[in-house]
Amino acid sequence: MKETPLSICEKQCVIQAVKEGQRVDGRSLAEQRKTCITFGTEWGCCQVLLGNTRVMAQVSCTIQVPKSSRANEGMLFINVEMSTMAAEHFEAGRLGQQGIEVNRLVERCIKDSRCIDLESLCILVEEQAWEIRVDIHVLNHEGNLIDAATLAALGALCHFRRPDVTLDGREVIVHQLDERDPVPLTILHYPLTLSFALFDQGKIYALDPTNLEERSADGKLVLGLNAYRELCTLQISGDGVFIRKEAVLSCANVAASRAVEMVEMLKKCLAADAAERIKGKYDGLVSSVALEAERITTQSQATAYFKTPVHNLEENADEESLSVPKTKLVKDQGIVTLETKSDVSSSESDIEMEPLPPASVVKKRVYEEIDIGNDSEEEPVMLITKELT
Amino acid sequence: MAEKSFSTHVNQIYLPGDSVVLSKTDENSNAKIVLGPGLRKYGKQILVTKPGILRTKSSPPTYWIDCHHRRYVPARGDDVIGVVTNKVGESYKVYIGSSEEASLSSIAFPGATKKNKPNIQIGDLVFAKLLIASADMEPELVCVNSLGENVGLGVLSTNGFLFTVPLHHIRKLLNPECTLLKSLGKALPFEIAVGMNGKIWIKAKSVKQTITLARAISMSEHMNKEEMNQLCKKFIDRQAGF
Repeated sequence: MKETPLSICEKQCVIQAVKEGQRVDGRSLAEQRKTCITFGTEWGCCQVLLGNTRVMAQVSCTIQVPKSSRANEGMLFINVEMSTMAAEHFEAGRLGQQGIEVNRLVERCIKDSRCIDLESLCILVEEQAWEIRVDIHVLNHEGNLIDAATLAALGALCHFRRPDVTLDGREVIVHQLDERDPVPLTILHYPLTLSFALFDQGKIYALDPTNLEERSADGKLVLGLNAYRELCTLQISGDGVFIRKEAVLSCANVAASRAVEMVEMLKKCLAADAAERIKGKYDGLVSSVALEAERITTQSQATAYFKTPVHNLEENADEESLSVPKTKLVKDQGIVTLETKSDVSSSESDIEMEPLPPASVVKKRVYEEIDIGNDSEEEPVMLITKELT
Repeated sequence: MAEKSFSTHVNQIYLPGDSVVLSKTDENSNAKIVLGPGLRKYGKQILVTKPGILRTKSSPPTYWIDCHHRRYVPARGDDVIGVVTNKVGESYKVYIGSSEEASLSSIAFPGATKKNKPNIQIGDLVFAKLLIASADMEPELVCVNSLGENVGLGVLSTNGFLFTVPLHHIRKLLNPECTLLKSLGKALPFEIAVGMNGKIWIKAKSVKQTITLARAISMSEHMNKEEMNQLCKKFIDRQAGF
């Protein structure tokens, strides 16, 4: 089926609203929709609700022969499914341009940033290793699929437990889940993507765009970041959209602080899930349905709506003018991709990256101190730091 | 499931497969009873085919099931809002949310002739009436009445905003007993076009007001009368600056 046509009226209203610093759903420009993360009863099942966008990810594992080029590493495979249930223009069994974009960006954010320690998945060098497969199902499309898909994939990977294995000589014994406690994956850092819709030739940007905003926008900027404020992925797509480097940096700053909050939220959800499991009465996704039943109350929604939004882009702009953000290249190990053109988008945008300042210029860096279980073994390539002059 | 009688069980929830029986007064009278959406005559029984609430209206006695719907099935005489997607010869193709796009002749506008056609661009919104809506044919729209007069239909201004709500919400808004739109209008003057296909076009003085009104209308979906009044009161207070 064809996608619902976009009328001139809707497009004009969205653009006009964004120019006035507001959005058609009542949010401010740097505000995200309500995010909800729920886990299923199975290990490695995670469902993310971003407003009305709903994405579910399920992780599974099998034992395979490792690749000959990386004989001591396991494998990570990411697959995106977009059913016709999610939107009328999706086709069953075919990803289409949008699907390929989502798949590739999730892959770049999670696989290429090496957040999963693949070496720990090796059982016997050159013979046996775990292959981790992430199946991402788009259940409802209401804009910003990329962010929802990455968050769901990351949540599922964090939640996943693989069966324990022991070696008896060269014989591999896979223990059942009731025989030995299953083992979680080793996660080195938590990368997420945050998308901005670009309006007015890249002068205005709106975080977490809805479907209507995505379609009315000139282009889109997708930033992949982790809780250490490290940049993992960057993509700008759209037809002939130009964006100023200052805008990229301020977007990155907004995104970095949001990424920190979202990783914290994910960890809270994981901790709550673990606590529920210990109690033994675990109802998985059923609880998310119960949550929605609560949502259909009326006055509560009305009060929520009349509240003035907390986040304000202007405040961010003020902060930025005080401390000019600098992007700094620390060390290139080839783990981090910094690409300015999209793999699938029809057009390219030209961005000149500012010549990177030498390390001595940076006097003091402000880090967000977040306790993440495992320390990253990899050196960060891009650091978004605030320089205090 | 136990059989329920129409008159005593109006405004109750029914599920597909439930059967309903006529009340004594309806059975005894010779007047025709109209079965609307969600009800089907099966032998001597009347069966429910959709999950929802039984509704009724008198003269002629009409019964139907009111259920949550997003997809629009064209019905003759409905006023709908559509997006012009293409121009084919003398007519336009209009997306109205149905399985097939509707056609709208370029001379079906007030005062339009073969030489004097309305100025319509692809992507424009039209508020039109369904002239033909049958299962096997392309739906046809018109923007005039049978005498070719202007009846408030036509192209909608591009300065407004279009949003979609479930169909039962549209029926609720268009119910003469519903005062929501009138009370909102007391706080903020606005222009509105409500299409039976779930689309609402709204235009107020500024984009900010338009958005606020659109959000208030879509928020009132699950509200009853009292809650709607409260919402309006809050809304008016807010406009007054409290």
